[in-house]
Amino acid sequence: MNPQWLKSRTLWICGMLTILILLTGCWSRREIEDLGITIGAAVDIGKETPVEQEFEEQGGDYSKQNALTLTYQMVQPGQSSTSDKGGGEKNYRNISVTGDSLYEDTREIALMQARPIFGQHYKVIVISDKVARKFNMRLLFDFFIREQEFRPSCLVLICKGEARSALDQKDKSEFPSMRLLSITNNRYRSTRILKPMSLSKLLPEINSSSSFLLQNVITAEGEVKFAGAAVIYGKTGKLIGFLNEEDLESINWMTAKVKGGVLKSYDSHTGQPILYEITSMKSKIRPHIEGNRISFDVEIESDGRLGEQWENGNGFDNRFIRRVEEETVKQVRKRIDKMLHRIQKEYRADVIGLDQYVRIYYPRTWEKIKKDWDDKFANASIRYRVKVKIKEFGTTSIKVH
Amino acid sequence: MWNMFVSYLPDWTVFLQALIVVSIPYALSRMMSMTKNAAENNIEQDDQEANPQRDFSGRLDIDLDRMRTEFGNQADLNIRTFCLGNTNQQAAILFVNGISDRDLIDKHIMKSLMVDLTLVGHEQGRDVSSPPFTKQYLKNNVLSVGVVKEVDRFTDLSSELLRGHTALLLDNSNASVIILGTRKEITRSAGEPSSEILVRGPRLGFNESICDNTTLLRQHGEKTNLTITQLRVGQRVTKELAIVYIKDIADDNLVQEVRERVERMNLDDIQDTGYIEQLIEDNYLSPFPQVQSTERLDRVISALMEGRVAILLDGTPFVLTVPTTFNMLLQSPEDYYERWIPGTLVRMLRYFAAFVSTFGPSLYISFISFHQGLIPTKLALSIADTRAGVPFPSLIEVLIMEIALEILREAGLRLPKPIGQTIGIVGGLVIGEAAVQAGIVSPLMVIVVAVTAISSFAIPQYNAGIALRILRFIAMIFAAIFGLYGVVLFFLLLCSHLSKLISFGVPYISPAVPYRLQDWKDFLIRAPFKLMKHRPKMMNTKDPLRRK
Amino acid sequence: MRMSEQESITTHQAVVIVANYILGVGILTLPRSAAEQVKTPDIWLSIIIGGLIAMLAGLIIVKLSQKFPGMTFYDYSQQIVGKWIGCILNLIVIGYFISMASVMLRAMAEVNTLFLLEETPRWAMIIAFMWVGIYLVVGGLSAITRMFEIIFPITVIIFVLIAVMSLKIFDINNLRPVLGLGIAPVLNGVKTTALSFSGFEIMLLIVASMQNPKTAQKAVLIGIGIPLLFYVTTALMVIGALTIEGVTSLTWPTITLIKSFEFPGILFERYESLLLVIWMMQIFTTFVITHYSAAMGMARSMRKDIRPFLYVLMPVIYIVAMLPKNINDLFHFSDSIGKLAFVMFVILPIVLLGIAKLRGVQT
Repeated sequence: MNPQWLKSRTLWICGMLTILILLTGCWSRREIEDLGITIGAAVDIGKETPVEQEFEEQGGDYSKQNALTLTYQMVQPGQSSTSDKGGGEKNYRNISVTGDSLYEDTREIALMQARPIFGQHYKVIVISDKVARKFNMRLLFDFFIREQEFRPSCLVLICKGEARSALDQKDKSEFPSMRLLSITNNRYRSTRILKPMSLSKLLPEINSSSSFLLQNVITAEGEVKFAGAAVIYGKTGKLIGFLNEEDLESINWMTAKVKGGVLKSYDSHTGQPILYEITSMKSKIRPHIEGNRISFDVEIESDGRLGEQWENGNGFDNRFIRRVEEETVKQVRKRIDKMLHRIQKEYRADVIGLDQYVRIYYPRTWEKIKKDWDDKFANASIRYRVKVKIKEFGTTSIKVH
Repeated sequence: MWNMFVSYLPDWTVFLQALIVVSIPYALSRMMSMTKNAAENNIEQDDQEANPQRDFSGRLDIDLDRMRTEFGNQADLNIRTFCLGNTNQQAAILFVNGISDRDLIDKHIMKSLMVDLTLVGHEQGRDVSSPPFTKQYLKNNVLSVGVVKEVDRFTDLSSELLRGHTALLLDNSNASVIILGTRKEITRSAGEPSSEILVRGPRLGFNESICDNTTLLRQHGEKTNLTITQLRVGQRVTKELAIVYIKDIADDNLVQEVRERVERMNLDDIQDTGYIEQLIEDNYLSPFPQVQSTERLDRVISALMEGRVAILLDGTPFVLTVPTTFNMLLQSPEDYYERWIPGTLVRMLRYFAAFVSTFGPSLYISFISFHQGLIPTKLALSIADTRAGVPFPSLIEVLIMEIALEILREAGLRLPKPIGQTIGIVGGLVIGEAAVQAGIVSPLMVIVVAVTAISSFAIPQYNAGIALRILRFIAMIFAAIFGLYGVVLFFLLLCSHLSKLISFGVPYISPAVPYRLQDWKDFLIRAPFKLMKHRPKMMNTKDPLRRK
Repeated sequence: MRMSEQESITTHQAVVIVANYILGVGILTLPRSAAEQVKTPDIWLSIIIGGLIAMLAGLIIVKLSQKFPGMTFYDYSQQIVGKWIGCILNLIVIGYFISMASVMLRAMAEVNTLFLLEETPRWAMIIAFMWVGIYLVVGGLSAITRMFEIIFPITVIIFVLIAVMSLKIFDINNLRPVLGLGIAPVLNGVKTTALSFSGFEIMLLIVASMQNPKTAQKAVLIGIGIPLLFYVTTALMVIGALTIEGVTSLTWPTITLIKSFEFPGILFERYESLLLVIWMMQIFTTFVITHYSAAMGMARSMRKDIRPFLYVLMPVIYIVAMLPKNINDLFHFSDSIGKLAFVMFVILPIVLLGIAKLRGVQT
């Protein structure tokens, strides 16, 4: 054995040893089944659950004021593999923790669960209306936006009543969070769903202190319904009220953020309902500023079809079609009027997003007025024209005699 | 100010880490250079080992005695002494039974030396006292054998004898021996190479005889400028080796380099081109084959037409072509036989397969153990479900299955063909299913491993497949330490290695880089022949145009 | 047959080197840093102007280098301004490259810690990264160039893919109005955006080894043009999706952008991993070339073999990378380096070119 070889061999061994020592890393390794995959969260006004109260009685307490209750929806892995005969029960578990800090609450769960919260699969965050009324959105969402674990694509909803209940479900065949998420995909069937507001879309709204809407959810006996929207006032960042389904619909008509849906109007002669189904929609918003007067011209155009009729009328007859169009326009105008009255006079908050158009068309003026835009908006006059065109009426048009 | 400076002063651990940063790669590089030096030293030592020279005396009885002692009691050495013609000049032929063509010896050599010499024409002016037949005379006028040459060293003689040639010793002649080409080769007919099977294309492969192989090459289009240079290699067992290239295409420097490297390697016995491959390659630490070996005639021909050099060795059907570049490992001659669209698609598929077979399991590990957030929620939930009972971390899980599969593959390779296939299927299915049932691995893992294995079969070159298999395991370890970051690091390391690697002066990674649009027509895609007018530019060919 | 260790660099390769070097941390942070300055959606205009300025500076550098064929900055600095000042200039440039390499490493570690490997210590990530880097740089400039050329198309393909996908949440209204507040805010941002193009200074070194130094102008223009396209696309996508208000409060806006959309049903749902992958590759290229340039500076100044210096620099770069105490320190550090770059590679070349002309220095 020549000495150089010997030397190189010792070097080899040393090198290998060092590498082996370094190989003992695997610092960040967590197996997927050891994670508490969480798909939804709900924030309520602080109220301790019975379990928590019992814990506290036994001394499981730390300094807190119980401002908020955070509920996580965790998926329980493992059980469904045994019942994989198809369509078995989905296993989820809602865990509630009460405390002051959302982050602390989240970590508190690590004391109670084998699998700590793993947030990268969040689908929805539901906020109770009481919480939204009490806290500024900026502060409320600080944790969710700051923590990189949360997906910015996570959907934000407001729940009238207890937010936790929106994460419960009678039918166990799907996860409640997934259900909420899936409902937002139904915008092609209803005009009463707000364009989904994700965390990443929420951030600019919060940062620019503009008023905006959040989809509202109501619950009853383990069922949920998307019902209208919550109005978040820009300056305070708090919830100030709700818009009902028809108001929301009207807002969607104005901004043309509609993929599909129906509009029911009543024939002014017979009082019978006629249904107009939207196939496409366009709107053009043009702001005008003359001195202090701010006004908007909105042109709404929609194409659609006659969906249902409860009265006589021949779809093959253009006169009838015209009439339906007129009735529909009338209905739309009525609703928009109502909606505008509500947001301009009642809430005095620009939730339609008209500020954007001022910013685009009058950038310099916008810089001056953006501070109290909501007040300016309340006094702005909004003119709108609605055009509805019925292109077809389906496979039949029944003549009821 | 000072306080601020002090506050930025790093901890001693940082200095320690800084030391680690430099020391390990430095030590490694020292090691590498030392091993390299050691290897080179060995070669030099080999060089000094000179061959003992044994010349022939020119006197038959002495030489024959010598032969007998040298060969010992070789049972199959046949020594036949006789007189030339009807003179009394003694002569002897030596040949080894079995491997020489007895028919040729009896009918042409013996007959012409003993009978024909007495016939008219040779008889003129000859009697007992006349000067003996010279070798020159015999060679020119008597021996009706195609291959005749003279040797003057005993080692050469013995090697020729053992190759099946016949030695003719003459009494009273100069100190050399005539070797007559009477080799009877045991060859098999050129059939389809079993290691590289094509659906469409010539069913012709090389066999173990270098004569047949060069014949095959010559036959292909009778290229007059196909140059075959013969060399003899091996210190103890010499074999014929041929360097083949097309004279007006191949770069002279390349041919010279190949020649030098082949001559520089000195091993006492070179059994297969595999030996040559390892002795002439640029980087023996690389997992990648830097020399292409193939049994297929068409592969060699197309390499030659691209300006590469082929190395043939007697006794093996595997022909080497150099320089090899990365793209050659993933190309199949069939790409050119089929129309260009299927050719292109299949080729891209192969690149994808290569990627999957290298990175499949490591990506699995990094997603399952590190970045669970990056997989779709539904998939994550179902994986978590299936993995719930698995006791091992994903690295161990993958390792178990991968190693089991490698063993299966190795086992299947050595077994007779029909059994091998059965073992493969039975083993794969049964072990996979049983492992899932036993809860050792998760079903998704089995799918990943299976897809990986299938992908690695899609690589047309066997040795390239092996390289990727090795790399797969390294990638898995990287992934187990750093997750996706580790996979990226490994990819960077791999690319660094590839960009450093050079095969006979041509960057291994070409034609991917440097960017040459001309060469890319035959890289990821296989462009229609109408567009492929040029030979690869990287080969620096003398005649760059394929078609004018 | 053995070709010379250092092959000369073709024009394509020079383009790729410049482009790869420029694309570094900027692609993740530029939208924010530019938005902070500009405050209108016109940051893409600032980026274009910044890019044009960088091109101009690049051209000056090329002009300077072409005056001294076959010589790098390290060689001719001493010829122009004398031995001592030249030496000091070289030292500053070496220091610049070292800090640049350190910033790259640290930024890589920070992003990794945040998005990929929460618990892995930074030193482990950095050390592994540096080891891979040293393996490549000992291969010399030709190996580095080849590596760049491998990485470049991967980057382009993935980047285009991601850009197309982020159209899903793109809203053109967020980019309007164009020049609503006039050109002033745009010019405000030019300083920041121009700095993000630092990297063209590599032409100081590689013109010397170019096959055809005459094409260096073309190389630097295209080399800056490609990152310009990347940056503009990124800015458009980020602002278009997250709005100017959203961007200013995000540390790594581009990653947040990619995280903001999902394509369920395809193999992955989220694509920030892809972005991080190409970004890490880009950081690798930048790190490798700065490491090599610094070592080359030392080797050229002392006229010795480069290898020992490559190793010597490793601990230095590592320690400098560990100096910033937090992420703000890191951003400040990188800003100061950018300012230094402005002085060294925009103003200095003009001065040097002037001196060279005046003194009539020729090789």
